[in-house]
Amino acid sequence: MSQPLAPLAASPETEVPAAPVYRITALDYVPAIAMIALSLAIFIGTAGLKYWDNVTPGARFLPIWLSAAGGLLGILLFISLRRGGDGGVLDLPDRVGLRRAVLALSSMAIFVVAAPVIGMVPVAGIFMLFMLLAVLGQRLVPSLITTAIVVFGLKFIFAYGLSVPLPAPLGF
Amino acid sequence: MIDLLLQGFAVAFQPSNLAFIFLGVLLGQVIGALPGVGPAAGMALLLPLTFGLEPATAIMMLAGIMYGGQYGGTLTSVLINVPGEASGVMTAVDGHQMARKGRGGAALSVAAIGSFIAGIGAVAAVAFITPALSGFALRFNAPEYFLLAALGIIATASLGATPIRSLMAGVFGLMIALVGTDPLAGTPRLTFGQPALYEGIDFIPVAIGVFGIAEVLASLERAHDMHPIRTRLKDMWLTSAEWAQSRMAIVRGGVIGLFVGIMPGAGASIASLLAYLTERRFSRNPEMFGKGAIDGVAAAEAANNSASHGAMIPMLSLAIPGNASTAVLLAALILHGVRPGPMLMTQEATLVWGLIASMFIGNVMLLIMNLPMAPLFASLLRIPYVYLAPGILVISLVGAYAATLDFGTVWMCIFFGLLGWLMMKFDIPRPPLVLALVLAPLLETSLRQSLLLSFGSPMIFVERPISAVLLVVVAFALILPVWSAVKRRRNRIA
Repeated sequence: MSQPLAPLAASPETEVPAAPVYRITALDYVPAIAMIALSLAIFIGTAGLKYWDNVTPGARFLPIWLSAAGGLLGILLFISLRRGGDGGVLDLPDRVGLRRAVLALSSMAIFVVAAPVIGMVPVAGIFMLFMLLAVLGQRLVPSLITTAIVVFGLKFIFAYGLSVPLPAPLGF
Repeated sequence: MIDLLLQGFAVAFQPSNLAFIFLGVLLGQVIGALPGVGPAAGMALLLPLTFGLEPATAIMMLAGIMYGGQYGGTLTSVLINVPGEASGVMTAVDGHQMARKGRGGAALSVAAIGSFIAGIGAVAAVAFITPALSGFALRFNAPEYFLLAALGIIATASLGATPIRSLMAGVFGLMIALVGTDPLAGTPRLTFGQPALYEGIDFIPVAIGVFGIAEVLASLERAHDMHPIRTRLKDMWLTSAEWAQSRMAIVRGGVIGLFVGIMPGAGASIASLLAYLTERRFSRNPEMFGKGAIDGVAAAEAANNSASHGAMIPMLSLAIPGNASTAVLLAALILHGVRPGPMLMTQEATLVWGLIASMFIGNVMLLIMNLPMAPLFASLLRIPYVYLAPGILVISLVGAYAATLDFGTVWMCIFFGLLGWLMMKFDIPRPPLVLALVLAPLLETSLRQSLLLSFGSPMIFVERPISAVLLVVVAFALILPVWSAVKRRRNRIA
């Protein structure tokens, strides 16, 4: 999809240095192991359902086949990685990137907890300011202006435009 | 057919519809111009906002975001050399070189004109091919639908760079769709006693999370200091030599884009790459490719816009989305109470023909936005991304809440945001997951109905001529990546 792509080389004619050899680490195996584990979980989780129900496939029919397909794909990926990789490349964030992502996720979780208590629009404002000032380190005035635009936009579009009853226990 | 198209124009020209078409293409243009949010993510984010609208109006607006995004993406490709979408990569190769030589305006012009001509041609093809394909699809029964749904998922996966991971994403999407009440037996499945899961996992939080939130989380990891090359209105004029060089490239790119767009799994990025490579063969100046060839820009842009329209054909006639954007559009149809499939053309003629007419109108609007107003939209690129990112997160959360008025949906949205981000980190493509989630009900129901019809015999998929052909295509789509992998490995060893 649309993760911003890296700036392109000036031209395909430009000589590009050979890409460094990708080294497979233990983390590369995570998708394969997760897929095998998920397939097993589906297999076990649907144990009480019928595979075949008189003349028709039962509720467990597709889960069984999906477990088999998922398990097979997980094993295939595992084998590919053991034999040098399948072309997939890990893109792990650095410390700053990881910190930003974790803080953004945590802030979103707090947003959901706080919104019914404080109100969705005020929490949106606090979230914006926290993200801009504390997480992304932006200047105060532009952050306040951006927050004001988003907060008024939310109120205008969702509450007035679409008549969505946003939680507002404090009245705003 | 002309009568139906005229009726469609009557629907699309209603003032409220016209306003929402404009809003859709404007949002698409802006979303396409902003790196970090693609059309599928934008459509998913805005889907909850359309619930108060008439289905036809909502679909016209969402489709406007889809093809508007292709126009808007040109700006970042040409002026910053950062394609916001994979389909803009080939545009950036020559478009940015042109911008560095002071011909960025011409690159934007030829991209807009190319996208417009190819877009109009593709919409005309949609108008002609969709009814014919719908008519043919009336012969389809459960086996054919099962194989079509399987093809939609497998083709998307097998055309990717890492087929095993893509297929895993598809299987994962189908596994997510298992949660809920079994569609035929009515028994709870993988609900773990949670009544909230009886209805299954809603499409909206998955799409918003996997596309919207995941994109923003990934974008936040890096600073985006963008310095777009300035462009002025007077730079937008094409010289007669440039036009002569571009016009056939537009036609060829448009035709390639249309055919690639119709194929399930291909999409705008493959279309633009194929068109670019084809154009290099036809060009009188192939040595200029990579150094600022205007025909390269024209072909790539014509192809990606044509492909995004062409993808509407299988979506409207067969209910099989070919890419992530049409998957969101198909989900929007279902959420608005419209039943997609071959009967859509007859049962919802007003909607379908209104949508087709709206795409003609939307392309005209986009041409105007991208010729005289391109410098204005280019100025959007000067807004630092860090100011937009938290706003997109807030809109995602509030949008998810607005869809169901339930904070459970918002939690799910955050969970799928984390999951989508992890998928990006582990190089697992996300479109097959969303496609699988949309196609899962059709796939499961038609598979079980097929086996019910045949008393459990899988021979039903071979005995029927159309399904036999589809089975061969599905098998080919599965074998193709295996064969490519074996070939690659042999080359590496040699």
